Amino acid sequence: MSEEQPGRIDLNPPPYRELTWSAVIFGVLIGAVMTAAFTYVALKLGFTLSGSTVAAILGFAVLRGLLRKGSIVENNINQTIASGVNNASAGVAFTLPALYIMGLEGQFSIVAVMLAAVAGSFLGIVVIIPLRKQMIEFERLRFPSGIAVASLLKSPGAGARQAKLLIGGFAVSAAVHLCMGLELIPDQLNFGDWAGLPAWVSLSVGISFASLGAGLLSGKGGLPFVFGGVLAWWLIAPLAVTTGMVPTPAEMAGVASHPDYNGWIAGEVLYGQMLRPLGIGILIGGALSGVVASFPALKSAISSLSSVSKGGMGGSDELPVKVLYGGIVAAFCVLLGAAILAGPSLGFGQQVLIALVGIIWLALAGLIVAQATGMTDISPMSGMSLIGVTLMFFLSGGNVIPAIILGVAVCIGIGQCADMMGDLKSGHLIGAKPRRQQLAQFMVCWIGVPVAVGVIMLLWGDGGGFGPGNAELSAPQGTALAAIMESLQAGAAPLDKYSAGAAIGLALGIYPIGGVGVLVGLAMYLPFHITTTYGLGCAASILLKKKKGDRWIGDTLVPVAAGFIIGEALTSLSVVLYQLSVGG
Amino acid sequence: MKKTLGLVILTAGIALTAGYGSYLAPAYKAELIKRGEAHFAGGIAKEKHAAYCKVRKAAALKAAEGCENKKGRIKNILNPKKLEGKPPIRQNYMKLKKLMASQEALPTKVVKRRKAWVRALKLERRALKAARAVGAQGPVPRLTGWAGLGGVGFGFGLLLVIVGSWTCRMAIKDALVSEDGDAEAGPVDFGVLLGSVLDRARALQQEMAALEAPVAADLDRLKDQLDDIQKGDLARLCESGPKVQQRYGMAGFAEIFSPLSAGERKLNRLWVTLVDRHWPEAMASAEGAVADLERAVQAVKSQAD
Repeated sequence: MSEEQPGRIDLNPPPYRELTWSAVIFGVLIGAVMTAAFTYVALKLGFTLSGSTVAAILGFAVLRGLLRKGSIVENNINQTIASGVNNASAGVAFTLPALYIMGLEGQFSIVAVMLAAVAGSFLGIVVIIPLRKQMIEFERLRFPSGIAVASLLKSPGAGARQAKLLIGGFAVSAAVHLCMGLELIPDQLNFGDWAGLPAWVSLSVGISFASLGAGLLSGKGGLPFVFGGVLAWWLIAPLAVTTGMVPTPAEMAGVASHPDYNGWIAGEVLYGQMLRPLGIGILIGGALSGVVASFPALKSAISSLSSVSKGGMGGSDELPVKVLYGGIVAAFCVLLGAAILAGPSLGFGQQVLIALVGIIWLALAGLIVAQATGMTDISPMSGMSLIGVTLMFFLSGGNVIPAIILGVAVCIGIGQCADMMGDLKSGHLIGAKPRRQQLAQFMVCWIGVPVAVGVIMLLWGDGGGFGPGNAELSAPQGTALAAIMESLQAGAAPLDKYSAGAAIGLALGIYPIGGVGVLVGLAMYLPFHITTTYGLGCAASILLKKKKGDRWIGDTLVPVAAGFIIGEALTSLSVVLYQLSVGG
Repeated sequence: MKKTLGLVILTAGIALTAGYGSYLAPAYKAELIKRGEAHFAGGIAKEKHAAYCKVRKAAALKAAEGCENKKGRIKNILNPKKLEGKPPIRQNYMKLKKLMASQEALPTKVVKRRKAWVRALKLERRALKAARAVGAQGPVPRLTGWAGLGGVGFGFGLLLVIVGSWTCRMAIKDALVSEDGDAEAGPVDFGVLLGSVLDRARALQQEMAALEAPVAADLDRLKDQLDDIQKGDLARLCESGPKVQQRYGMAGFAEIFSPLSAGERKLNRLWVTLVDRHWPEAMASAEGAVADLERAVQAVKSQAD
């Protein structure tokens, strides 16, 4: 970067580029564009895309390629900022539309929504500060996407062989995902269907090189995840059907021969009413027991932040603990303001309670989502947000508006936790200073909120701009949340499954290796075809490690797996853009 | 052997708890049965509608009542905006009302199919009403209903999970001691490896300090040496976290791994700054890494004492 003449190294170059204006401005620009685009995509398709990978590629191309002045760490800061801004898109697009769909437009304060969303954004970063040491340095969670981004950022110095492997992995993954996007190949191979097995004996493998890559990077550590999936779909599901735990054809008038019976049992009853809520409970219990088991390490992490506070920030790589405490207090005040505006009819005590519980749940759910993402690259964000909204619903005495508005904060906050932690993992692998990454994300995390909320308001227009019945923008997640709110109003909540699951997760905390409860719960929470693909990756990684050794894994398998993840992420974006441009 | 036994008990425990945990409370199952009947009745109504549309199309009638025309466009019974957000039972009622009011003259074959469809819609209506009558079971009755049915089996499974996990915990602790020969040997191994990483990092830093006018080839050579440390001993050291945790407890582990990880991160920074050809930052990173690794060595010593 700073050579005076060929081969000679400049011994007095300008300071090393890290947190620069170029990185901040460019990151904000990419982040804002991604926020607007991904909010629209979420309303259209019901999912958003990972911002980190896209931002890393764009930053790499512009800062290093076009401007020819970006350092590797500066690229990491740029990508951290862009994904931090974009994080609001999923949080807002999955929750806020429900208020419009339920016909509550004009009855809620948009200022309250903004306040809640901004508070959630800040809280997500604040609560993750002490967990960085715990998850990245102590537990050494993999964060497969974080590794993929770091591999990409390090590619200029990794040598030609590793660059070729990365590109090779990228090409294979992109080609397969493109064929899938163009519907030339299916998104999963359903062996059970071909063998004539009923839908409740799941024997399918998802065609996803990103899941395969995540499994390859996780190796042996991902095995409890596979165990959870096998237990759920190869043991509990067939037993539940054959022993009559689920509604049998004989119990249901006139449906004994209905061809859709097995599909309904597998999707609606086994997955929707039994395994998924039980999985959510196990996730919660597993995360809680993880906090208890690692309390001494957490205490040590917080005391190391305290020592930073005492010694001042200069020279330290960590943000001081006073930022943590100050941030929590400030975010609580903002969230309380949002609760007051969102539910003016509620008593002050109730408003304080929902703001307080909102923060506690956000921290716990953020921990769960960050752990799950760290171990498998799969985020149970929707389930955790759903519980957050349910909690708010009960605490506000069945008042939908404050429940959803506080739910916006929870959803954005937990997304921020997982995103920040992934970026911190990339940062760790390239030697970035965590303090600078956290400061960068602090500075910009609120920017995505007005963009995402603005897009939602703009698209709603005079009314009916999205939602069920709208062919263009059906807002699937918002519609689902609206339906859930209606069922909650009718009194339904699977407390039995959540409680049973939480007890299992807590008991699994005794097992000597941490995170087992989270992995087993996550496997039950997800459809089986995701687990099988990931499991194949884990199995392949274990075999290759045994045969080729650790060094080969680092030199060969990691760049290939990183290429798989990046290839699918970028092709997903391209396919979505193509579908939107042709009106698909 | 002990670990295998623990794993078997744990697996059985998880299977039992997850199995009994999945039980549906009897009243909730009854609710699901009614919902299922309504779901299938709706499916049958859709099938009858498809059959009606087919004969309508064969009779070359214009598109109406939710059937599509030759161009594939659907002429809905009701404006979708009117149906939006309405509960299924209301939508069913609105559809039936509109169908009953229709005065369209149709051929006999088509009328027959239409009647079958209307009958299916009426059956769906009855099933939806029955589902509504059962109502939604609240969270607490669901919890007590489930506990009454599967609580004992679940409790037994939970006991197995606890016993299995505990047995595995003890087995791993025992294995650590027997693997190392005696309780003193393990920390020495970790300490020796850590000392070796520190020596190599220090040698690298000294080599850097000795370079007065480094050229690109020097930086590439240093990077390759660093690669060797990172992917060899340092990777092994970082992988051994669980063993260190078992030996020194969580607090002791944190005392050691905190500076070790900081040192690892600074070596990562050294790698990227060498790639970026930024000599002062590379020097600073090397110095920082050595200082952190020295702190880690001190932490191991104080834990061993």
